[in-house]
Amino acid sequence: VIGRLRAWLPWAGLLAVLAVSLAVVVARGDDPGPQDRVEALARGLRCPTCQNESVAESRSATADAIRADIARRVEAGESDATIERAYVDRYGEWILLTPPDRGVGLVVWGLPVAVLVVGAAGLAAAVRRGAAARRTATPDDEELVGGLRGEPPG
Amino acid sequence: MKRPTRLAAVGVGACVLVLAVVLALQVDNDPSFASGRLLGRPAPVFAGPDLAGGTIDSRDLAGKVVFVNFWNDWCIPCRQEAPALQAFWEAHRDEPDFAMVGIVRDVRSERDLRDYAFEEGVAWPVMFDPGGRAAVDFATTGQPESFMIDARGVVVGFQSGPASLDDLEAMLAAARGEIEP
Repeated sequence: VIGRLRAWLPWAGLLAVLAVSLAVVVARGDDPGPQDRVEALARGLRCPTCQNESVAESRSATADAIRADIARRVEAGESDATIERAYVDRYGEWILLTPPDRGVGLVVWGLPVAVLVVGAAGLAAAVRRGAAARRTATPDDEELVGGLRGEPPG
Repeated sequence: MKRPTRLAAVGVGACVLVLAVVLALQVDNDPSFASGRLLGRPAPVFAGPDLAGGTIDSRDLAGKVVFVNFWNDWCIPCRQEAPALQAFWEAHRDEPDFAMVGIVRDVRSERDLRDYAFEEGVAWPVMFDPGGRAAVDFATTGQPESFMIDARGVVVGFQSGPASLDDLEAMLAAARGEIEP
């Protein structure tokens, strides 16, 4: 019994760590503070006057202004979706660092998945063809193997 | 060409084609077009301290055609645009239905800005934009950027980059309904 328990102990430990991590994530996700929301929204918006930097990363005056505007909107009780929509309305979907999962944005999400599926299918077909080829030996193969084993031909 | 090679070539070709279409569709998402999204929409309200020590509030300009130009003293294209702005201001400054406001964004040194404005004879009202609120409300992506607002308060003209005097006159004529925008 002790040996069996000892075998399960690492798994139980792993399960406990997973459960605690999940609990922490869920607890934090339930009620992000206003500053967390400002940070998260700023991370999702492109700084309009920078080269591929988020509003959260950039130290430019425009990024400062957008962070201040987001903070004002959060304080005024606007939802994350409303704030994001206001920026899309103002700048276009270009302002979002994560492409939307609709319209043209779908291609960005779908193309890697399609490539993965097609690649996996190709790989599976190649493996199957290789396995099938291995199973069938030609008469020449049989004769060669037989000769090596010292069996008489024919 | 063997079948797997042909299939791979077709696959790669299809991916390139899809990406080309996606990129082509994204052309109008270029940031330089961003502020143009305001065309046909009500202009954002703006207010702030001005260079002369007073304040400017767009609500006080209601009923006028208002030309708004985002600029600053360290921006080379803004300096290139300055003579056209000067000529435009001189031509229309006394017209009662016209107002012009330069909004300075990303000011690095207020003293340098004042020196530049004095030396270059920037005579039109210039507003500071503390916190960059007006620059964000107008969805600007740099400077110079210009907006023409008609008497109803609707944005009817937009120019990204230095405007010529002809550009400015055309925007004003469109705002007054003299020509199609």
